[in-house]
Amino acid sequence: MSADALKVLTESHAACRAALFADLATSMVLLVESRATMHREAQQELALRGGELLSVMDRSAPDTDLAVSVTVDEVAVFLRVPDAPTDVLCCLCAPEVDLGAFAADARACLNALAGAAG
Amino acid sequence: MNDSEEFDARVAKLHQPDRMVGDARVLARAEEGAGGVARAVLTAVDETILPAELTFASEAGETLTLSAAARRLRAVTAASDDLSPEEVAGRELEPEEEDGLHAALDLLVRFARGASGTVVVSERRGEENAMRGVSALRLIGMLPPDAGPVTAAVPPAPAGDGGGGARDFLAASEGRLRASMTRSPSGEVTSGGAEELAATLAQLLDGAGSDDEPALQLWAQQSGTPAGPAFGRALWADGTVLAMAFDAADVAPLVAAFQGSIND
Repeated sequence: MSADALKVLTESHAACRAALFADLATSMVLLVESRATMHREAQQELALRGGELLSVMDRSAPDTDLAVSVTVDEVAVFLRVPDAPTDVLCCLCAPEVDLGAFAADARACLNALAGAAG
Repeated sequence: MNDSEEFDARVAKLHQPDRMVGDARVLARAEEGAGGVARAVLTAVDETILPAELTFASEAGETLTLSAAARRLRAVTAASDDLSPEEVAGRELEPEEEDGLHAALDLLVRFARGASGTVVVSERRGEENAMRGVSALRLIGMLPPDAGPVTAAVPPAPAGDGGGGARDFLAASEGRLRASMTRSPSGEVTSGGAEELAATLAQLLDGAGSDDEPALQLWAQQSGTPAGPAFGRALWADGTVLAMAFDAADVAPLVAAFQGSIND
């Protein structure tokens, strides 16, 4: 089941606190995995944040499909599918996340989810 | 420098530990400028007594292989195609043939101008042969006085007010930035690296928020072969903003560099 990909991603990276798969075209959060309760408003807000950040470079670097936002206490990782840019994966991680490994696994997860959803 | 001082300098240098990257010795850094890189290459030739093939490489990916012996450059053995080495590669250098020497120096300067990050040299034993070559010290003296700026140097961090976090970040990110543009808390803007990226970096600076919490945002093409550079924008608590262009493969190390700059 493709939906398990999200669970596998969060379980294999202890630093990943929450991950969701959303379709920005319909503004729908399709799947959520979170270590703590994540209310619908917080899910929607995270998906919108991901969509906005991923589109910042649309004019000068339209092939951007990965955006990362780092603050003192969080690393947020957002991915979109090149062929279907409204399919996004939004992840909140602790600062100690192994970003290289996580981003690679997150891409595989998104490809699985987008392939199944598309 | 008189003979005694030169002797002392060489002895001191011999006692310095070499910085190694794999089997290669770190020779110079691109931010020393093209002239500095070119001199470092020729100094390595000047330090070569036994016949050797010296291969120079920078993080830009271009390589230059020189045949050296007895402190003399005997020939350019090979170079990356991007450096257009056809005219000189494989030809013995003759002290009397000034045109050939200038062509070899032009190739060296092209390598130096295109260098980015760390410049390293690896060495393997060369052949004994009858090639005389030309003195490395003579070639150093023939280098153009201004070999020009390198195309991808890490710019200096902003001086004066603030900039500590940005300075730490730039130091930790080594030669990973293709270009950057920094706005200090007083509004002074400094930039460096590839000029064709300046307009995009300026837009990123303009789009920075006024939040006083340190934050880093990076954008990259993760799927397939990146069509262009990745971009990023960092903001430190003192108000310094830095926009940057870099290779997509360097997202993780730049995040680590930023985290180091805000946690120190």
